[in-house]
Amino acid sequence: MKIKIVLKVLGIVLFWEAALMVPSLLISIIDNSYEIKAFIIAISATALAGFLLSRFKFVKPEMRKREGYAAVALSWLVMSLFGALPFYLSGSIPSYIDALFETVSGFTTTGSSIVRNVEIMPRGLLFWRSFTHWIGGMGVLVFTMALVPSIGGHPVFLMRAESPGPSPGKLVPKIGESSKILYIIYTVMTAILVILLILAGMPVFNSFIYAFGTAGTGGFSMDNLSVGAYNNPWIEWIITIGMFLFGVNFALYYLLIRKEFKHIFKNEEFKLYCFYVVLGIALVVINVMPKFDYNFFEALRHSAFTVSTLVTTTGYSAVDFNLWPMFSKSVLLTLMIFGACAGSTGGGVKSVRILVLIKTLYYEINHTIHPKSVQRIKIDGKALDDDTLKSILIFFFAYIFIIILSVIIVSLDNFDFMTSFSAVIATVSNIGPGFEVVGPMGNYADFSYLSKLIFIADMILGRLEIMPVIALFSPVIWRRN
Amino acid sequence: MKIIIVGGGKVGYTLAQQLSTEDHDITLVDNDADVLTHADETLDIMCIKGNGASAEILKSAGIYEADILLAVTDSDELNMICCVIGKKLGAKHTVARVRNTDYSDEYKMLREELELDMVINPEMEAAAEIAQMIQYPFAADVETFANNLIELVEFRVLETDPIINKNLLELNNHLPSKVLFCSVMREEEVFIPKGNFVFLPDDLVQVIGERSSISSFFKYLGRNSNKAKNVTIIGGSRTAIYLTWLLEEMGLNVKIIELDKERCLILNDVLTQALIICGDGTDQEVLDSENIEAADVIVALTDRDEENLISSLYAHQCGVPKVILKINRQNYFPIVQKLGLDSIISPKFITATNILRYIRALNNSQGIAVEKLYRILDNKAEVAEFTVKYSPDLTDIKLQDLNLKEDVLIAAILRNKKIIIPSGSDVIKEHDKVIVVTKTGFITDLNEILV
Repeated sequence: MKIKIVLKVLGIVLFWEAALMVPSLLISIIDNSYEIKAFIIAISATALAGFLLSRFKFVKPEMRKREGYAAVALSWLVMSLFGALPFYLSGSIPSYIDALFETVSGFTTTGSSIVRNVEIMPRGLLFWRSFTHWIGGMGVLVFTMALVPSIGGHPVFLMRAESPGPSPGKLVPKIGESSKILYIIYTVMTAILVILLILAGMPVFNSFIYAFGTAGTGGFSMDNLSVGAYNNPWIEWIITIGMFLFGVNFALYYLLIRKEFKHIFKNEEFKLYCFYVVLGIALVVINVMPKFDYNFFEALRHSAFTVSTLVTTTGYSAVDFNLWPMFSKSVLLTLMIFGACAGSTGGGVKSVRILVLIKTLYYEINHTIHPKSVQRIKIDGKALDDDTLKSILIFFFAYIFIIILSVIIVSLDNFDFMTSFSAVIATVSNIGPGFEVVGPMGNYADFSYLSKLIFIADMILGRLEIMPVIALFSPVIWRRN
Repeated sequence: MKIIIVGGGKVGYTLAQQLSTEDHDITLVDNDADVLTHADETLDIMCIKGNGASAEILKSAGIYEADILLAVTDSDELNMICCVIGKKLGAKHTVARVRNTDYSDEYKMLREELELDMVINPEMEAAAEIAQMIQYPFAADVETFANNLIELVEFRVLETDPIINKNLLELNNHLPSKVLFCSVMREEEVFIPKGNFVFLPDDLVQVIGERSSISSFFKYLGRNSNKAKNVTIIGGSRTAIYLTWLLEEMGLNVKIIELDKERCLILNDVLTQALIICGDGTDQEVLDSENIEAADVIVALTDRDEENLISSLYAHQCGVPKVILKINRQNYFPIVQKLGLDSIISPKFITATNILRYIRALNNSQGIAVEKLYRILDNKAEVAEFTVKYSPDLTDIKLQDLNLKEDVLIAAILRNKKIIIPSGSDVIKEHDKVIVVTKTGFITDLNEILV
């Protein structure tokens, strides 16, 4: 592998990370709070590291698949190491591993927190914490490519490694242009969300925090009760719909701008996503309504919010769904694994993979009955090539395998099964809260450092969809030839 | 510009590669998933799988907004249909590759009736290029500028040449005519020679000047500029037929060696004057018995690169003054050049170059001032022709006072049909045509040559 180009990409990414910390610094300067120094040190260190690494020169820009994958995985890792500095240096989170957990949780848009009382955190740090969601949602390298399209030789691998979904595609021929379009759509949608939240009565700063969490489908809040703290149905509905929309493949918004409505309604992934969201809401309403004293609209509001927050892997809460009956919890747990659409900011297995898996199963049954039948799996009328199909099956297996392995290690902490299991799902699918101890009212503070490291690994594995991370840590990739 | 390329073979890929580095939006359409995967991974372009002649596929490739549609698949008919449909759907310009000899007399009709903006025939273009090489046996490559008034000739320096071991300033006093050395390739590195430059044997040099100056320069070098008389072609391909037609027009004797008996008969039907020999062109005995040493030019045109290479090497060894060979795989070029064979022809590369020229010319009309642009020396340097517009930093200033970039050379100025090979005291005036050599990359405006 050509290490120089990987390090150069890393350098450029760190440089931008330093720049992205500046708004948080400005807020802490306005508040004249104690974390100013921490931000200044963190920004200088990150910028210096970025500057040194980006000075690497190479003769031929040769970015192949392995360099692209390694660059993305390494960038996410190192970016988190530097991103944790403000929390650690300011003393707001005294343990570095905890600070790292919080930062990884931010960048991977998970939203799991080890902070017991978030309301005492200064605004500068809160802003940085939530801003990591916004950056991580669409991807740091995609952001970098929008501004520096000439990164390496074949930047298409960077995009593939970072963007969620089995075969991320470009919207327009030029990758730099594609990244720009994605970020423009993303920024405009976030801005609209901020304005709506302000109109609904949320304070301005809080609107930014909740908009970042919603847009990146992250879930960090600034209130211990999360969205529930506002007790405002308007805010809940705005965030419900917001989360749902950020869980849709952004390519569809591009089609919307180009007025190609026919393709949007024909999109099978989008249809499946809508189907299981609606079905999930209906099942939960039916299950929850008689047990709690909700009227229909309350039940609908709470179920829609909770289903939307968990299926898009955001992880806000408006009610303590941990108190809901077991059937609802099972439905929610399933949706947590399914996740949002490919090419969105959401996590999980992704709707399109579920679609392919279901079709594979159906065709396999059909094949048993008609052994000579010839059928190829088609998505949106286009035959899926064997490589993509294989990669989806392998991905699903790896996903399950990582969950099993993590649950076994996390069990050492001796929490109940629902806690351990849902905590693993919640981190690997980048959701945030799970059930019981890690439920919407709880947090991850009580886990051991070993478990926290496992969660950190799970979050990055889940966000980068496993392969780039495994590639980075396999010895073969580091050999010269 | 938005460009759709149908067919991702060698020509399509080369075009996509070149054009995507020149800031165009490229969409490549092909039926073969492997071709597309390769293109997608190595180029910054959009790839679409499907039949390029289907309206649905063309629509999804964005035909409504396309500036140019290039149809370069293997099938002539598919290319034509593709262009017709593309034009109807709104493509502004269409270019089709049509190579079958059956259509060779019908280009005018194709252009008019099918509304094709350009019909390109790789074999015919290759034959034309070879004919030009035979006309100038001392040159490895010839390009013309300013309506053929200025020639740019590429040649390799020999140990016997009087220009070696002298620096350029000294050399310029000895030259019989005014020519300018634009660029030199030595060991894969390209130089723009300055006053203290010294030529070494084996340098690949580009020299520019008026046609008469160029020929007296080559006389000074002592190169045999006698016109070739006897040409032997190995391999009776389509290019060989076109070439023979051209050479016979020029009054040369052509001999074709072809292995396949059936093919020989066909050749004999089409070519009335040429001598057709049925034999193996890679067999040295056959070549010897056809008295290969006596030939002035050998052209190896079989379909296999390796066979062409073997025949050419043998001819080169026998002392044939000019050996031209066809090589399809572009990555063979440097290897073949190292063996001392400079005159290489690649029909696919020529096709790509000609289409590129056409597109760059279209670009001019969209505001970019380049009139003509050639890539030379393995794409490592560029020669571009500009028409000068008034600019206070550039016009009416002595060249020696201009603050030019490193590695930029003003090679020639054309004023009122008079050619000036410039020296430091000359000036550029408005409405002049200027030929500039750079190795800094694509320049789109004459002002870009200034620091």
